[in-house]
Amino acid sequence: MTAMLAAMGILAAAAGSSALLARRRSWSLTVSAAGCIAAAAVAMPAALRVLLGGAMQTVSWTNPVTGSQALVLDPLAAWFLIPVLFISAACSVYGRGYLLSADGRVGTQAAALDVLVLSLMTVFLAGDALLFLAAWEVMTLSAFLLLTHEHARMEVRRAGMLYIVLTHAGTSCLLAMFAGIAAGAATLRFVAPHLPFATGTAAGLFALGAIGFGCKAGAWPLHVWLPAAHPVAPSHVSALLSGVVIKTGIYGLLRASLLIGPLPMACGAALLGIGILSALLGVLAALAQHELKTLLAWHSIENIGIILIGVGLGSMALSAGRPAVAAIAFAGALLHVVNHALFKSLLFLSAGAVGKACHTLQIDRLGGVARAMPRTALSFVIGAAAICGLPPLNGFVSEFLVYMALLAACAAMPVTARAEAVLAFAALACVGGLAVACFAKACGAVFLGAPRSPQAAAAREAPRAMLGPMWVLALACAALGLAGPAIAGALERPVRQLGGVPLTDTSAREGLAATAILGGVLIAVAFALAALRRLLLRRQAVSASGTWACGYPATTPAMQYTAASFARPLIAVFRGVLFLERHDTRPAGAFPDAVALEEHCPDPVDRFVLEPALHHGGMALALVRRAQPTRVQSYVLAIFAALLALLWWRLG
Amino acid sequence: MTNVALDIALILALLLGVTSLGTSRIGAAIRYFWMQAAAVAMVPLLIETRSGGLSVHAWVLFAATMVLKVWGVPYFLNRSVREASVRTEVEPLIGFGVSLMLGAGLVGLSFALARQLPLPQRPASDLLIPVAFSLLMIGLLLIVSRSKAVTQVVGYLVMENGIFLFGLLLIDVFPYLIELGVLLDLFVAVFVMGIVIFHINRAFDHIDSHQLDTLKD
Repeated sequence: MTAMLAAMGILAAAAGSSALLARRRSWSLTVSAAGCIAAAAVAMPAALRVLLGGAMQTVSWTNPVTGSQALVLDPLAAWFLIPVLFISAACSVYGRGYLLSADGRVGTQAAALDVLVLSLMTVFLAGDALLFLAAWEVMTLSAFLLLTHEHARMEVRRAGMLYIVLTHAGTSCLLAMFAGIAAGAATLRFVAPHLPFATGTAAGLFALGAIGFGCKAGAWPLHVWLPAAHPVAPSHVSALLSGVVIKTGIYGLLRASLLIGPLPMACGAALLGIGILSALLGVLAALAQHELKTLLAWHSIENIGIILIGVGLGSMALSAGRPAVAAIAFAGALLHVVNHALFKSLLFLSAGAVGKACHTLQIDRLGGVARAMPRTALSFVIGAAAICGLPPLNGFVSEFLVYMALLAACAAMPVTARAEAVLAFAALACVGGLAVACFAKACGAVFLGAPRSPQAAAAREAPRAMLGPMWVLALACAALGLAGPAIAGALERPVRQLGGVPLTDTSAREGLAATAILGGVLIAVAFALAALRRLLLRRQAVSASGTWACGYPATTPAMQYTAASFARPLIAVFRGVLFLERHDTRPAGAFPDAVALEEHCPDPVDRFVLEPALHHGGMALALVRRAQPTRVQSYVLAIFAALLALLWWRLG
Repeated sequence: MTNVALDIALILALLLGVTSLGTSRIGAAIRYFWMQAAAVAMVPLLIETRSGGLSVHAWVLFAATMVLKVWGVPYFLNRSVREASVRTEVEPLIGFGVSLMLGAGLVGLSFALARQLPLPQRPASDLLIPVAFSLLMIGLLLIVSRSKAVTQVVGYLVMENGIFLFGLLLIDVFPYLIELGVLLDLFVAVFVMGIVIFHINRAFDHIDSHQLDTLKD
């Protein structure tokens, strides 16, 4: 625990000094990044020790106002802490390069980044509801500061507003949930034993937690802030938000289900259902996006869906008394948390490098970027392969575990649960296929072909300061893809804490070993093919030239497949659930001149629920607004009168 | 003997509060405030002398109040008054005479309310609670009835004195915690307000808080 406290101290000091150094941009960012790296270096070994069998560590204190409080490092917290520290260190280095290459103030960014990491650590280590909620709030606010970096732009302010309103709405549910749990346990501490809740109460508390944490995690239909906020934030902030911050929702959900105790089967089933919905609708919406970071944001929703499928299935299996199934399901979910954190931040960082070089992330204005930015392209492709769940990368390992859990559930669970597991299995397969299509579209349209705009043609490779963190993350993705058996050892304790049996007693162990062997074989085959190619081409001259256009010499970039046209056939199939909006100017008359076609895929929850609600709410509240007094004095008078009335009512 | 001294300090604080309602000169209002703060600062010492020895705690409170409220805060306020070059509260929202009347009414109300207030233990003086209430209300009245930002700050400070007196009720239960919180709060608030007043003045050439009306919505 000393290491954790030291890391937190380092982060606090780094935050303070980078704020003080705000005028010297480079210094400020360097101090902030150094703080993140030092904190990771100090805290990660300690977390790893707890994960691999070290004793659980606790620091507790009491104070007269709030009672007993504690910081607790248990296996579950350690599991979430490690990726958080690793990725924030990588993102802070990238962010330094990213922000230095643009003008503007960086003091807030530098300090808020350290504060965010500090609050994330506190969220995971908190041993009582009060500390957890306080850290949760600091996390929300520092993430808000980070994501509204370019607040001069209207859409950034709108995204910031959406984010803060939705997460605060979520937090109010969390307050209610923790109050309910504390009332049952007679303490705010997380570890204290208590009487089991009645089934209805447990389900109610869990529902509150699911809403509150679901808002943060971005589970459908509470995901609205993700596709708005991720594209407008600086790329390393998007990476942190998507890779790390939304995972706190998953952590909270797991922690809450541990606290509430035995849950009825319906809770897990509902979670599984939400997972299926998020995964399917997320990947479908991603397919229809025209902006690279929005597309990635929708993929975050998809992946949160996959994680929720694991968590929901695990919870169902525990309710049904099948801890072996639960163990595999939780293992899959936990591993996917780490994997998604790695590959999604890799993707956002690569996309940020492209955006920086081309000054746009509209897919249909990019193209041929791989020629100018081969390293960025390679790291994006590695991330894309990982997120699609292709071996030998890490996404494959965790999705494989989730599939194994679903299969085990089909064999061992009660009939109704079996039906849902089969449904989830089919959905997951569909999601995997669609994700591959989506990333084929993104990679193809952005990196291959000919540049579709002058900016894309003028792209330059990203500086080393930004490439370095991308390489580190790409290597981590590859390493985790091959480290199946080692991962099983690390997953052992968190899974046991969640109520599963030891993984060694399940088929997960062999499954993980198989993924490692498969990965190794694939890599060997790839190397062999590359060697063969080199051998065969040894004597021949290889020349590069343009694509053959059937003899037509005057090709232009506009003749390429666009991203939209590539995705069109699939989108046409799913038109029913996508709510596409189409604006077109059709050719008319004998000599048609201007012809245009635009198709957008708005977020259905935003467009059909939130916007009308806000609009009508605003109309209704206009009456209240008209009654608003203008003088400062009248406000104080109103407070004065209210206080007096209250006093009189209580005492008179 | 000390009982009488305690009551005298409290009555002095109350009278200075009422007087500050009737003055139009801002300098005088600030003077009344720091004299009142000095009287209030004596109260913890007098309470402890009454019950026997003097603790370090009481001395710390006394010293902190003297430094912050009797010297620090008036210094800042006088400086902002000088920089903003306002001398008088020209057009109050409620006239000075009416303010005085209202103030007297509020003092009466405070005594009535204080009698109803259930307390875990008998306070050191029967005047403590009514005076605390009165200062709170007089402070609020100052904020509500004046239009210059500096006078409103003085109102806030008078209110803070009332809160300080309330905090003394808990002197045994929460040593330091509440009082230090109050003092810190106050210092920061005056600091910020000083800056704000200065900036309003710089931007609009006066410190009339009416101009903030345009900030509606």
